[in-house]
Amino acid sequence: MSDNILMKDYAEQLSRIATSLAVAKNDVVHGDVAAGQSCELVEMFTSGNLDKRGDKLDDQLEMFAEDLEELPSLISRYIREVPLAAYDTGTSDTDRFVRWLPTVIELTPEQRDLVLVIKSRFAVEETGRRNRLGHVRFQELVSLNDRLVSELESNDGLRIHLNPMRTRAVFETGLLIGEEESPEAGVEVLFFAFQTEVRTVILEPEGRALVQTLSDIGPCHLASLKKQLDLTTSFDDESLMEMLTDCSEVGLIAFS
Amino acid sequence: MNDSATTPAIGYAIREQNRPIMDDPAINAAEITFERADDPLRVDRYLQDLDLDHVSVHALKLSVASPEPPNETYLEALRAIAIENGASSVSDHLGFTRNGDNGVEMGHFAPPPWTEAALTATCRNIDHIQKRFGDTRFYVETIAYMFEFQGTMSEADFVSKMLKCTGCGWLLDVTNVYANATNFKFDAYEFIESVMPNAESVQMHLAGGFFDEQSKMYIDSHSEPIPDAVWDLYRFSLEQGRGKVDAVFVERDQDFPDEAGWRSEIRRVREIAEQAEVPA
Repeated sequence: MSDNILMKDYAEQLSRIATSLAVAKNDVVHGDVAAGQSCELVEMFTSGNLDKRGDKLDDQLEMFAEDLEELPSLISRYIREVPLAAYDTGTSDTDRFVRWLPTVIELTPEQRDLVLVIKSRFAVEETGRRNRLGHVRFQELVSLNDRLVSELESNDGLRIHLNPMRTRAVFETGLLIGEEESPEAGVEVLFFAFQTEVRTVILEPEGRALVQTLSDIGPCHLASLKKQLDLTTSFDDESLMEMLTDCSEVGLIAFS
Repeated sequence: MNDSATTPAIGYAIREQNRPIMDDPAINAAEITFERADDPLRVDRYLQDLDLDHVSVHALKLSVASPEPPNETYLEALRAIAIENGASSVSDHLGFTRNGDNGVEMGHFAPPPWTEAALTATCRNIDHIQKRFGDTRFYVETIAYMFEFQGTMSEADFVSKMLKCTGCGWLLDVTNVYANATNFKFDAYEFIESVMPNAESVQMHLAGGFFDEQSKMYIDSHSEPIPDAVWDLYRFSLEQGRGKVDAVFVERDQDFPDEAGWRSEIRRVREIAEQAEVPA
């Protein structure tokens, strides 16, 4: 048999084994197991793998536990129906789970907000993965915030940077911000990286304008920012300085 | 004390639980598990301020026995962690965790079928990885498995041919060989004796597991102290590999010992390594 045919056969064998064992279809590989070795051990292998996968999902979906009674059975179903993707990063399976969830059950608005939290956190992490240098550089700038924020009004050369590791989301309900009433337009929030964690801030209209402006014009001096904001909003100096201070304290902006 | 240049570098696979004792004088090496270190939002290197003679990055998903080589994104992320932490070596397991590049993961590595086709694919993938890593030596670990697939050669032959064909390092997990020998009734000493001459350079893993009465299998759980039989096999392996063992790492993932336990275990690893450097 030629090498090409041997390798093609091997690729097919491994594909069959991997796709079957990934979802514990153990009987598919019984014919591949060495003579005299128990197929029960294949089952031990796959059930151990699925248990570990389920435990990880369980941990990462802890916030769903109260709002989704059938979570354990849904996790159990998911890991048997949807194989782990190649190069899973540890949190990517949780992101895939919450994308799969609405395809099998109808979610309440509160549950949809929880899904949004998980997707947004994952989106920030993935932004960090794609732009590692950007994240590290920004966090270096953030470490200077305590000192530089006090120079904001006196130092004309200071530039304001918006955290590049961020994503916006709109909650349907007030549940996650501790409000019983759900605002008609939803609750706009910004997820962003701070060191190794993902933080969240609620965006009021002024905050939304500030983030949008910094996002549009890029790193800028205070004077340019004020000029740009004046065109679109009714910021006064005092409230702008207060907002910039707050944003620097949480690590949403930094200075250089 | 013997010449430290001939004694392997010795240390732990880093876990949060053993970080406090990583400054023990018996430790001059560390193994970083890539999947733990690869936090996309990290701002510090995983080793923090540890300064060691030998650092190795241990990966879980290169899947060297897969039909296709690992993708560039994964290799680049692995390389970044190695550079950040000043690693002189990278390692992964002799097995497969997935089918193709856009395929699925099984969640853990299975051994390849011991066949020519699997050997060809494995050697080709190892060559690809070694080219990518240049001077950073790549080691392939013999895994503990619960079952084997039908094959046409023994595992010892497969590993020997792989080492000869690629020149990669051998990460001899002494406990894995002990577990496989116990579970599949072969002689662990003969296995090591037959493979060792084919390895240009060697790293070792030591760990402790337990015998599961239900399955009648020794399970390499990394949850127990290293058993006496593994200490003996370790001593034998050092003698067999004299002059080419670069580093020895102890792995523990559950039921962690107290501080004294961590320290006494690693000191024993060093003591035996130093004794083994003295020719009989």
